[in-house]
Formats: sequence, C-alpha cells, structure tokens
Amino acid sequence: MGQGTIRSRSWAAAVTVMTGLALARATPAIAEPLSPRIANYRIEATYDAGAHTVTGHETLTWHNPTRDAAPDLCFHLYLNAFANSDSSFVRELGETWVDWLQLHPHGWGYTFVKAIRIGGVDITSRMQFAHPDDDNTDDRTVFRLPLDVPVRPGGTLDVDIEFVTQLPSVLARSGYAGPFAFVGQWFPKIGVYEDGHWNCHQYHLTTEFFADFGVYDVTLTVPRDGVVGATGVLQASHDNNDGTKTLHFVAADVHDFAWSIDPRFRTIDDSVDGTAIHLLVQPGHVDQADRYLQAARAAIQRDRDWFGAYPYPQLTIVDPGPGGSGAMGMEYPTLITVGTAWWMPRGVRFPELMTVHELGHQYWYGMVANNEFEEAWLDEGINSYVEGRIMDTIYGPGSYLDWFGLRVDSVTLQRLRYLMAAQHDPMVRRAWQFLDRSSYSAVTYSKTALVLDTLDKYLGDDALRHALAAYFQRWRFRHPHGTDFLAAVNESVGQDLGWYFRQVIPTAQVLDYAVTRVNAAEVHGSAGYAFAHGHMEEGTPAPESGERRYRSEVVVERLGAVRMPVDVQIVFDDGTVSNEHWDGRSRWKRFEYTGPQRVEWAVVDPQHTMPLDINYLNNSRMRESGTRGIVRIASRWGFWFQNLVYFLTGL
Amino acid sequence: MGRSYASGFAVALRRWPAVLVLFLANLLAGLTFTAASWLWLNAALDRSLATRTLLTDLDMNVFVDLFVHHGESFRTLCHGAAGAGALFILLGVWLNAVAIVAICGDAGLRNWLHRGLDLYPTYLGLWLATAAFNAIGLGALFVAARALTHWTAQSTSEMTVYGIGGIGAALAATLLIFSATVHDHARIHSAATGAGTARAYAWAFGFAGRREKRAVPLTLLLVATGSVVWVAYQTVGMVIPTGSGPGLTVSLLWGQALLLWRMLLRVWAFAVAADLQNVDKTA
Repeated sequence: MGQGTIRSRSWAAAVTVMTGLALARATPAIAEPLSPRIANYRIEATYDAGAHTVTGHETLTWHNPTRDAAPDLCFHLYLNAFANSDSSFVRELGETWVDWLQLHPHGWGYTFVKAIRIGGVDITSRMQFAHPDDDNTDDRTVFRLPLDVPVRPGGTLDVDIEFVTQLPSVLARSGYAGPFAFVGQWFPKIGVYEDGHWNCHQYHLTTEFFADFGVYDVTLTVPRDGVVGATGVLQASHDNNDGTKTLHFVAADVHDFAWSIDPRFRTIDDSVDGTAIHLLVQPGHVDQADRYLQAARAAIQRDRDWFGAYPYPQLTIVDPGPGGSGAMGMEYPTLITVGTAWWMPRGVRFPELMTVHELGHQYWYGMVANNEFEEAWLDEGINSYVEGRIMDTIYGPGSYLDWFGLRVDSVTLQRLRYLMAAQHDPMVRRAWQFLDRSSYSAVTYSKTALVLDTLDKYLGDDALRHALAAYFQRWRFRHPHGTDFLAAVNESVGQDLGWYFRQVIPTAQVLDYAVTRVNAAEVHGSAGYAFAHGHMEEGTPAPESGERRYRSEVVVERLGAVRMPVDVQIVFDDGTVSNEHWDGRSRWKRFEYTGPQRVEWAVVDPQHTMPLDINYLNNSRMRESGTRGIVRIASRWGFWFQNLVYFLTGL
Repeated sequence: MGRSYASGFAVALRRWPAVLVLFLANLLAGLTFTAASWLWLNAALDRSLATRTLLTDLDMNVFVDLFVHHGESFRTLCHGAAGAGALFILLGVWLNAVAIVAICGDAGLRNWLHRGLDLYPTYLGLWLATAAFNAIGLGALFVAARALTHWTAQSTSEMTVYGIGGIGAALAATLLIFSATVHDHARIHSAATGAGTARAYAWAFGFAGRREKRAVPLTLLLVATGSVVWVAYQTVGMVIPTGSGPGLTVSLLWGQALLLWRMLLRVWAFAVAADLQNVDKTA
C-alpha cells in the first residue's frame, strides 16, 4: 500500500520534541513545546445548527514515541456510545436511559467515518471495530486500522479522516439542548500507544479519557449568530457570505479539543495573573457571573501557589443552556463547563464548587494526564481533595453549603458520598469494573479525597501539598501511574508511606476506631487474706481515708482493618484531661486510671485528623449518656410530626 | 364575608373546649413521636458526645453517620411514624366531628364526644373522598406538568420549566383550598342535616363551587390569617436561643403556642362554614 508518508526516524523521545518545535515554528501562536506533542490534529469542521451535525476533515500527524513498531492504529469514536441501545455505555446505564431515548427519537448520536486515507490511498474498508474491554460485539466506540507498513519507533504518520458527527440530545457531556450545543468527543481520536500495544478503551458509563498531548489546529464554520467557546485561543474569525462565520482556534500541549456554541451566550472577560478568563454565561445567569469568576480567580491563584503556574494563555468557562445540564461539570483542556440555576442561593455554592473542581482538572487530568480509564482516582480523587482544600480556604466553614443554619464543608460532603458505598471496590480498579456508578463515585472521588485528607493531617505542615507539587512538577505533560504518584509522595515527605498506601489504595478495607467502654467504679478497701510475714492474715482493713477513689476504665477498639496511630482524649469529672497515644495496631487498647476523679468521657481522634474513619459517632463515648442534645432533636421532630398530623387531618 | 369571618372567630373562642380537645390530641401525637425519636436517637447515638453536643452544634457529620450507620432502624422509625400518623388521622376524623358538633350547637363536651362518634362513619367517608379527590387532582397536575416539561425540553428559556412548576404549584394550592372548603362544608352539612357521605359531599361541591361565592374566598382569608401568624411565629422563633436548656424549653412552648393557634384556626374555619350555611349555633 502506498503509505508513503510514513517517515522513519531513529527512536528518541527528543525527536517528538523536535517535531513539536517544528510545529511551533509553523504556527506563530504556539510557544516552545511543554509536552511531547505526539498526536497533532488539524481539523476543519462545519456545524449545522438545525441538524446538530458536525461535518469534518481531520489530518492527524501521529508520532510513535515508543521502542516498538506500531502495526496498526487504534481510534476512539466516542459518540457512538449514543448511537443505539446496544452500546456498552447505554447497556451499562440500564433500561431507564433506553426508555428515555426511545421517547426521543432524535436523541441518538454517532460519529461516522466517511473515509480514511493514508498517503492519498483510501483504506476505509480496513476499519475493524473492536471491543477490548467487554464481550459486546455491538459496541462501536473503538476501531482498529491495520497498516501495510508498521510505524517504526520514532516514526511519523499522517492520516486523513473525513467524518460526520451527529450530536445526541445532551445527557452525558456532549450533545445539544435547543440552540445550545456542547461538542466534545466529536472527532475520530487516536489512542495511546505504549509498551507495544494500544491503550484504547471503549466508552463506558463510568469512564473518561486518555490521550497523548499535541497541537490542535481547528477551524470551525458555524452559524454567524453563534457565540463559540473552545479549547485553546481564537486566532482569527471572519464572516462568510452564507450566514456563517469561520473561527480558527489553536491549542498547544493539550490532549483534547472541545467547543460549545449558543447564540444566547453572554461573554464576560476577566483575567488573573496574565491568564485570560473567558466566561460564556446564559442570560439568566449573568447576575451570578461574579460567582464563577471569583471562584475561578481564587482557584487559579491557589493552584499556582500550591502546585505551579497555569501555563496556558486562556481559560474558557461554559455555562450550559436550559436542558443542557448533562453537559455541566466537565473538564477539557483550557475549557470547563459549570452550571447554576437562576434561583441558586448564595449559600448553596454549587456554581463555585463546579468551577473550582473543573478548574482543578486543568492540573489533574489536563497536565498530569494519567489514564482515566484505568486509574481514575489519580485525577478525580486528587482533584476532589484539592477542590475541598481550596473551597475550605476560600469560603471557610460551611464552604459547600451555608444555608438556614445548615453547614456542610468538604469533609462532610466527601464522607457522605464515601459512606454510601465504602466497601465494594478498591481505589485501584478500572473505571468500568466498579460495582456500579455509586461505588465508582464513592471510591474514586470521595475515598481518595479522604485518604489524602487523612494523610495530610497525619503528615502535617503542608507536607502533602508539597508532595503534590513535586508530583505535579515531575509528571506534568506526561502519563503517570499510581506507582509514580506514590513514589513522588514518599520521596517528597522523606519517608516510606507504603504501610498506609497498602492498606487503603488496593483494598476496600475501612478505617474505624471506636471508644467502646467508659466505666468508673469506686475503689473500696482490700478484703480477704493478706500475705504478710510468711503467714496469712484475715480481714485486712481498708485504709482510712475521707476521700473516695475510683478506678476508671476506657477501652478503644479498632473495628476496621486499616491501622493508624491514634490520639485518645480522656476527660474526668473534675475537668482534668489525659491525652493518650496509641499505635492502633492491636484490636483494642485499655486505659486505666485510679484516683479521686471519675472518667466523664473519652474520644478517639479528638481533632478529627482521620476523615477516612467511617463512623464518627463511635469515636466518643460518655460514661453517662447526655440528654439535652437528644431532647433538642427529638422534640423538634415531634413538633414537625404534629404539624404533619394537623395538615393531614385538616385536608 | 367580613361578618362571617368575625363571628366565626367569636364562636371558635366560645367553643374553647373543642379547641383544647383538638390541641391535646395533637400534642399526644407530638409526644408519641418525640418519645419514639428519643428512643431511637438514644440507641443510635449510644452515649456518644453527640448526645450532649447536638444541643448547641448541629454537626452534619452526626446526621451523616446516623443516616448511613443506622439507616435501617431509621426506616423503622419512619414506618412507625407512618403508622402513628394513620392512627392519629383516624382519631382526628372523630375529633373534627366533635368540634363541628360543638359549632353546630349541641351543648356539653360529653354530648359533643358522643355525637362525634355517631358521625364517624360519614366523616371517615368524607375524609377518604377528599383524600381521593386530592390524590387524583394532584396526580393529574403532576402528570400534566411532567408532560409539559417533556414537550418543552428543548425550550430556549430556562424559565419555561420553572413557569410550569410555578403554575402547577399554584393550581395545586388552589385545588387543595377548594377541596378543603368542600370538605368543611360537607361535614357541616352532614352534621346539620344528617346527610350521608355521598350526598353531603355532592351538596358541598355544589355549594362551595357554585352557590356560595364567599366559601372559597373565606377559606383563602383564613389561610392568609394562618400564614401571617406563621410568619410571626418564625420571626419570634428565630430569636429564641435554642442552644441552652431554658431556651430550648421556651422554643418548645412557643411551638405549642403555634399549634394551639392552629387548632383555634380550624374551629374558626368550621364556624365560618357553619355561618355560611346558616346552621344554628346559638346553643
């Protein structure tokens, strides 16, 4: 076959960097390469707003950065997950989704490859759909393309692809809702070639993405009234005679390209530290623009201070249109989607939460580009932890919810999510292999955040934050694995934390310490026989003393399998406090005291340094139960019940 | 309308024993569920510090742990509440009959209780008819709102869905107010004439819906009166410090004052309905 564009070069990672430099010279907007620039795309596409289709042509320039020749190529066709009810994605969603889609006959979407050419030769017929993750032969989200001539190590290949994408009705990330459209996962996208094979997974319900860095040079022709936000920076725009306009975007050192269009978008520009913030907000949400922008500015500054500078010139924030909530809360390189509603109270920090979280993904996904299919905890989990720290720092107590006396901060929220499905799956598991979405979410996002929060408090002195910074600096614009993260943390903190990581990362074990006994009994004088002078004396009298003495007992138990050193605080009825420390290794530990005071209560982990603990209630125990707290809650519930009965009897 | 409103209030005040009976029954419901909640919380919190700290600190982590680790027993508590609620509804049907008998002129608490028991089958039928009417009406509104939301899913305005929800809520409130008006008039009519369930309900439907134009507006006026008092209750309630024993006690008593007022309002509503029907209430 005439695959004449395959150019053999000696293998070296530097080659790819040099290629990047060459591309940089070709496009003035691109600075010196920050990444290996392995997969580079030049895409020209036209959007039909009426039919919700994108017709495009892409030229992929792919470099083989490995030591192995690549005998074939492997591509994602993500939107085929929405093509019909037979895709793995829809099957994993279940019948409800299918019913919904069947009610919406125009709701399906797909990407259809019209032609593939290499060196001018059409090889479309070689496409072979693959299903590397499951036995679903009907899934069409991955295809292989055998080559006549393998791409040698260090070699480069140009591939031309013509495609048409039908956007689905938006329910998960991509699609349209009225005139609003979010266009992600919209073009044939090459997988990642590593260790002699393609890492190119199907699109599952719980999976996100994995791709190589590169340069995206994208030209979009869209209706003239459409306001567009996209990955990268707008280079040029011109109006056409047919009521359309053509926009030229370039993004370098990124691994995906997404864009959004809506004629209703209001554009608000801001900047922080030289980074332009481009907010596309719905008209009904303009009065909340400051909420997005304040959160974005604060998050960029925190991320910069804690980990390193945001290196891109622009960040675009998209506020989806009505009915587009499926596109909310998603991250793409230099572009994030957020969301709110016109009635959103200031104390309900939903817009801020999404802004901080998705912006954090610019670091943990965007730059530190781990494999989200296989180790999602590395991006979602680390980012959830960082999000919590930033939210708590910016907004203080009640950082997520501060409304009518209800206050929820990061730990409370993550605990609630984690505890809903704490014991089904370990953190290290391929995303589609979790028990269900709930378990995936609980473990990948929340457990990881709590694991890191607990570690943070264990290490103290911002050691974990410094470790994350070291990890970021070492692995940005690369594809780290979990072991790389652990190594970076160990190295940064100067100790082997394997004892901790081995307990919490590859297992579903839980951490649960409890105070199970708090007793005090009066000590009376001795009775019975006494050993004295070589014989037994009967009736040993009690020592005379006007002071009562008590023997207090506190038992702390380890109910979970995870072991951590813990602090125990014991408070006596005279106000004295005893602070104890236990290595937490055995199943239980008894603390005993004898003196004129009685133990009043005891608490394990009094400073809440172990958010991973699955039960805070059993962390403390009183010798005698309190009542006033119970009375407050029970009487309030009784009052509500009275009102309910009043209402129902008065119907 | 103003005369009925004012005279109804005066009649309700004169029939204070009926108000008291309603209040005490409602208080019994509250005490029952408070006791059940106390037992559950005492077991679930198990001598933890939260048994003390919840007085001053509504730590959401406590509720997270209660929900997660004691969810099963909490569901049992909820099922118990549903059962108790059903029993108190059955009791309430009788006690409302007692209040209406008091309004309609019979003398003496003993006589009210006795006559109320006689009316019980009819009143239970009226309550069930009202509940069915409400369920069907609200269900139809819900289905209609869902269908409208579905058909307008591609609307270009975010306000479309809120508009549907708002109109739906307003219609639901109107339906409930009309239904409550019909229910009150059916009970009064039955007590005054001895009409059975079907006849009383049909008569009241026509009375409130067509013949007596003041019926629904008066119910609305009473609802508005109740709302004003509720706002006053909340306003005062917010300044009561519940983080101490005395403050908590005052807060609880203040809540019971609201419920006593609500029972008065109920008897007031019966009296207004009786006035509109010209039922003899001179005794």
